[in-house]
Amino acid sequence: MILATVGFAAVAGTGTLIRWAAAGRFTPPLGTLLVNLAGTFALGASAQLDGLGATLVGTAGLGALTTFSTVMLELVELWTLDRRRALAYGSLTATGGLMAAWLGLVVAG
Amino acid sequence: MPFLLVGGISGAGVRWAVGELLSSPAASLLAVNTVGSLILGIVTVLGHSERDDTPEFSSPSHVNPIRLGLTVGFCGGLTTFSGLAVELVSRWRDGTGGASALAGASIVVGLAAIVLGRSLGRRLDWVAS
Repeated sequence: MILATVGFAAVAGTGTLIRWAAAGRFTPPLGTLLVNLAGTFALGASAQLDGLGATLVGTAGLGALTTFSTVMLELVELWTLDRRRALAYGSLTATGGLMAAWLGLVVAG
Repeated sequence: MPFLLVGGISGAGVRWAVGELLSSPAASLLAVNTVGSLILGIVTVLGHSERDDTPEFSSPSHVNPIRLGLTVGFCGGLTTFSGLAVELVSRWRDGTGGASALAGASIVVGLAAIVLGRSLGRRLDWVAS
């Protein structure tokens, strides 16, 4: 239980740090898009995991790596700056996310 | 950095707990994503009133550590995009149904939560000043 909690914190912390590093490395909102698509593919591909493995990889790691709230904020903020970019970002996130999840699930079998 | 880690880990912990408490994955996804978007909306406008129109996302490195811990850390850790996308495609693949309703509700409620949160945050700022 203690080990699982420490593992959860370590993995969730790592996911958060990678997302933060990606946000700083790429022109917004590209960093968010990249971590979300990569994390979604990985979550689909790890669909066979269950129990502690699913909690550590899916809930802690990939859940913390990807973000929904930032996408919503970026869409609202982009909308006031440049509606075309907001629409492009929204459609890339939606279609890319669904394709990444589908590809991951196919890989998982 | 410590605030960012504490925020991200506690956000993910709360998301795990909500998932354990609510039996429906759709309900827990909607719950964490909506609450996280609302908090993010509030926190991003706090202390940003008139002097600064810079969008929050365009200056992530300039925010103070506590704000970073709450926004990128807690809200980012609490909400999840991968969980939602995989849940949607799984429902579609299994023929469970409800995928379009969950997708539509997530987007509409999520955007509304940001707009509402920003307006609440500005009010809080105004009250505080």
